Amino acid sequence: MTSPHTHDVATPATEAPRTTTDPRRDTRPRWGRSARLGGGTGRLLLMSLVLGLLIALLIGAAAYGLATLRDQPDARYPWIMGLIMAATSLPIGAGVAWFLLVDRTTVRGAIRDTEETVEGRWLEKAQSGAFGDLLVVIGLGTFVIGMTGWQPSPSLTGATLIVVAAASAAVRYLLQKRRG
Amino acid sequence: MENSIPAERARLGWSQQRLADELGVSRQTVISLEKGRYDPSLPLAFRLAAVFGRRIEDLFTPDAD
Repeated sequence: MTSPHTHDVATPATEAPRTTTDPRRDTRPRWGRSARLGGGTGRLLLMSLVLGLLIALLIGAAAYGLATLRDQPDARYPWIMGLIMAATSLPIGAGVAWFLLVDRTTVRGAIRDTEETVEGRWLEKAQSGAFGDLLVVIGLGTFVIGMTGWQPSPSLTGATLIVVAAASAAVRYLLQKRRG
Repeated sequence: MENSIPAERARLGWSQQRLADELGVSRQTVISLEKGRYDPSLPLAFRLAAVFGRRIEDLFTPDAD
């Protein structure tokens, strides 16, 4: 008995691959290109910076607006908050804009089918495990808070949970990578 | 699951990187496949069979247990 795909695989593939993830031979640009922008890497980076600047200005304006609501004796406080938030948001905004604009397959070292890779499997397992860890931490934390009456601030609680989830996922991923 | 990927790759004289490029996956994926530490998805198994000109059941052997 033969399998239904037998006829489709009669000839081995002999054509050279169009792209490689070998860093010594991959000729794709480091930052990729964007067909939507119709240009090369330079235009993509420029648009990413412009959009990143817009995002940073919006975040800065929001921070300024929120800071004016707080009762602060120093009149410069809202401006300082707005400037700091805008400045720190600029690289993140530019990164987000680049991520949204770039054609992923044009980036040097990009893998065509990431969902088929072992790294993708490691990431799935790490995220799944981190979710379980998060549930355990939330459960234990709720128990401790209930027993002690301690009331942590919402911002501290949120930041702690994010750090726990990220650290758990990172450690789990690295452990799987070490195992191969 | 055991497989004959290293032997098939050697038959063609391909490097692990070349096979990874043909399959559209990372070289680490090929390494894990060859060591038997990563069972491929069905689409990837079909691609492996296609690049080697074999059937899936020729490449992969289920564990005895």
